Amino acid sequence: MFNKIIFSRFLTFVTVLLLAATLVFYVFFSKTKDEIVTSFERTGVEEVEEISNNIAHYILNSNGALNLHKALVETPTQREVLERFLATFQTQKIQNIFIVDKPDSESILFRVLLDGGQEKSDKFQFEELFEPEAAASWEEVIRFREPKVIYQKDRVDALWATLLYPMIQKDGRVAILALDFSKKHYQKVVSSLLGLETFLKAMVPFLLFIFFIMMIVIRIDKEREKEKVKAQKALEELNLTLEERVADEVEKNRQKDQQLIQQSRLASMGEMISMIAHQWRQPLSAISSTVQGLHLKLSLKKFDEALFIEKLSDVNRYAQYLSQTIDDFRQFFKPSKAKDEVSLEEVIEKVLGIIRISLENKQITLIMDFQSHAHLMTYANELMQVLLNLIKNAEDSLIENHVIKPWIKISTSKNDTNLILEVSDNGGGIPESVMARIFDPYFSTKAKKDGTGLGLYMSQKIVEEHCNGVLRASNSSQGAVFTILLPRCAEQKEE
Amino acid sequence: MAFLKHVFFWVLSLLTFSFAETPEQELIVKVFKLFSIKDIPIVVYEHNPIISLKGSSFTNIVAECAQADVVYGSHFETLPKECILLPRFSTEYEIFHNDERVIGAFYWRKGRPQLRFSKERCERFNIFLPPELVRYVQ
Ligand SMILES: Nc1ncnc2c1ncn2[C@@H]1O[C@H](COP(=O)(O)OP(=O)(O)O)[C@@H](O)[C@H]1O
Ligand SMILES: [Mg+2]
Repeated sequence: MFNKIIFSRFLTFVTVLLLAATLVFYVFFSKTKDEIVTSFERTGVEEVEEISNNIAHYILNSNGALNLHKALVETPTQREVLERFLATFQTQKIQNIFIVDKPDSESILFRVLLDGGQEKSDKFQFEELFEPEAAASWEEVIRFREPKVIYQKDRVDALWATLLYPMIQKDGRVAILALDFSKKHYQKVVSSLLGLETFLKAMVPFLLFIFFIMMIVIRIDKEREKEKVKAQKALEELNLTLEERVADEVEKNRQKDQQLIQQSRLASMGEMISMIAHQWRQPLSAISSTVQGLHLKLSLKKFDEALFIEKLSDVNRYAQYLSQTIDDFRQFFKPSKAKDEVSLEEVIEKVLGIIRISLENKQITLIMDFQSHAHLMTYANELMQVLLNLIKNAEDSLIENHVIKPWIKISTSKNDTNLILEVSDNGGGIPESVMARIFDPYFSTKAKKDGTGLGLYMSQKIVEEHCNGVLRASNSSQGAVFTILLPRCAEQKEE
Repeated sequence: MAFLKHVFFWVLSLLTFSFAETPEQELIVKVFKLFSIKDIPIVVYEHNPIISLKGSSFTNIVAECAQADVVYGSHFETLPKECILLPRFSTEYEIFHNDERVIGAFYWRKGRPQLRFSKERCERFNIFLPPELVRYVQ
């Protein structure tokens, strides 16, 4: 685009330059041509004039008479001699040589005295009257006694010219020596010069035409370029707004994610409260029965100090246990601000501390197989949430399918690149038809048991986006298997 | 302007061509049209002239000398008997110069067209020379 503009500009420049050069050259050439022609002409005329001068001199001095006509009338033999003399000057260049005078100033006719012509049919007779073409010029020669050149049709490039040379006779009358001379010898030069001039003349409008065409082309081109730029701008603007839109969408997505996280947190909280309820039932009833026993003993006045101290310390222990569980939960719901250095086993133990009693109540056997024992840097609370989700799902599956001897197996292992955490159950597995969708948000098969459909979605997000790991689901022969792979590069030390 | 000149030239030559009249023919025709005897336009008998008027705009040409007023030709040696007494118009200066019956001539000298009349001969034949032609009288 840039190059094209420069190129067309350059072309216009060249055309204008050419135009100017041609114009200058044309003007210069025209002048030079005229000079050449006139100089040629002058030399031609000068030559013929010199000849004329010689002829006139000779003829006027050839006899003693005052008047040529009179002399010729008197001695007719002289005519022949002088005409032969004139004939000697006839060449290719000088075609006709004849001498006329004008006896009658009223008439337009001249009188021929001598003719150097050889051809009989075209030879003037003595005293033959003759009407020249440009009679006025001939008269002028007689009147002003100055030589004169008459061109055919007044054109420089005419082939013939006539030199009229005044012969002033001894009686003062003027006769005219007329010479028709050819300009052929330089006519070729003149005609090529004229041709060149015509060419230059033609060149100017042609170049002008080209120039205008160029202008038009450039105009059109510019217009097109303008449109192109406009379109480009529009596109850029669109791109910009598109980017904004994308940013908007991303922001919206983020907010939605935030909401989802919040929702799943709330859901977990609900589950958690039921767990707390389970956790607390036993110590609370223990406290209650202890207090009741003590109360009974007190009312019967059958109490001894040692028993009281023992029972009260029991109550205190229970209370402390309750406070401990509260602490545990509180910690659990605090989103981790920074990565902690933990081992998978620690995370599992913490989760089990919350959920174990609930599982025991439901007669679900917990199988543990720890092979990893490696520390890693990760967001421990988030990971706990994931694990809690997986265990909860397994528990749901086991209960829903009324499995006879239900178990949940939690195992850890490691390979060269990853630490591996696996949660499996014998609940029958995930139906193949839903396998592809279980990680979708709001996908749940637990319509009546108020499933949120967010557990696996959030778990995968946490594992993949926060912990740079992978969460996969598969089926074993007995049930579902969820595998978490966490990269070992985050690991700091190995035990 | 040179271009216009060209156009003019072509138009002119085209016109001339349509009349089939050369400049020489035109000139002679003009002369004959100007001639008159007792105010009656002359009738011409053509006798092998170098420049024939047949096909030109001049139509007063007859095949017999009996009806003719003027014989138009170059040489008159072989002229039919009945024509001998008629005035003549020639295309040769020689003939005009030597033949007493030739009242006028049109001829070329050194590439220059010449038109010449003899006043005396015209008068002898009662041919009226219009003022346009008087200047060519010698
Ligand atoms: N251990 C499992 N055994 C069988 N199906 C499972 C298991 N874990 C998850 N699912 C399936 O995946 C679905 C999505 O789970 P989740 O995202 O946690 O949502 P929710 O538990 O609220 O239904 C469950 O509804 C269930 O159909
Ligand atoms: Mg769930």
